[in-house]
Amino acid sequence: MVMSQIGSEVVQQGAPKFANYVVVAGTWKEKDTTDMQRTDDGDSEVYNYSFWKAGVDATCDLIIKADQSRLAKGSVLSESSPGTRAFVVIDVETSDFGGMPLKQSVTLAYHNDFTPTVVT
Amino acid sequence: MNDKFAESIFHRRHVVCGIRLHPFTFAHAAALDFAGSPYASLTGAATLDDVVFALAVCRAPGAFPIQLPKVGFFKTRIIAKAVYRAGLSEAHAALMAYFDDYNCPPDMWQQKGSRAVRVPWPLYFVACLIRNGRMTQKQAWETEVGYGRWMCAALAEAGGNEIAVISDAEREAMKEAGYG
Repeated sequence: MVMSQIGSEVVQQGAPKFANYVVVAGTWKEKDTTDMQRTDDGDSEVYNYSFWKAGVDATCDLIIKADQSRLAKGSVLSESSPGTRAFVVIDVETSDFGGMPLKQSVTLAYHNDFTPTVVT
Repeated sequence: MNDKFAESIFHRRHVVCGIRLHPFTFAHAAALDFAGSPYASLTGAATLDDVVFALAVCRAPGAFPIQLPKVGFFKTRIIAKAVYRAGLSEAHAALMAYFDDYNCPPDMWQQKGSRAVRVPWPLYFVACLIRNGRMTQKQAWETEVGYGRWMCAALAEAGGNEIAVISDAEREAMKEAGYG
């Protein structure tokens, strides 16, 4: 972490790896959704900004590894590397090949310091 | 370049049981389909008659108008003898290699709402080539099958349609995910 940065960075370059799914190269796109507001009075030479709800929205195409189950809306997808982020599946569309569901185009959401729990 | 597209362009010479086969065109496919050959759909086990018929079809140029070969003991006995000598399973394997070489269409994701084609499949692609590729009937029927199917996909995409061809990156990911 660089000294001029507050907190840990949530935006990482490159696609993460998932244990049971392979990210199709070139499809990983993410956007930092951290909220930000300027908090000084606007009349000073000191600029203050507040950041909160650090998070990432991402989209990508995933190939489901053999014998693994499909993701559904609300599923939790845990990163195996480079970090340990747990994404929530916001939207998913499945494509079949040879009669088998193989590819899923997913929209994911991650927020720093939250632990997604699936409750049925 | 996509491997399957390259496969549809570059071919080796095919000699099966001593018989040199011509490039596999839609005219060949229609003749096999018309006769109910298992090689038309590339499924099912083939009998000696099926292998002999397929060799009789594909040793002639796949030209339009389509002509069915004359078959029968006296007409095809030389082919039958050649197959018998080489062995049925070897002849079948060599024929499948020939069909695989020439019929290598793009792999596509199955699209939601897609429907099965009801007309004979060679006619469907020929119609696409005539309608979208402005080919004559003769040119379309005499197009090699794999190349023609790639051309149909490309023409559809050039026309503004979204074509769900499996990309090289998706193919790599599929390999990594354990799908050969």
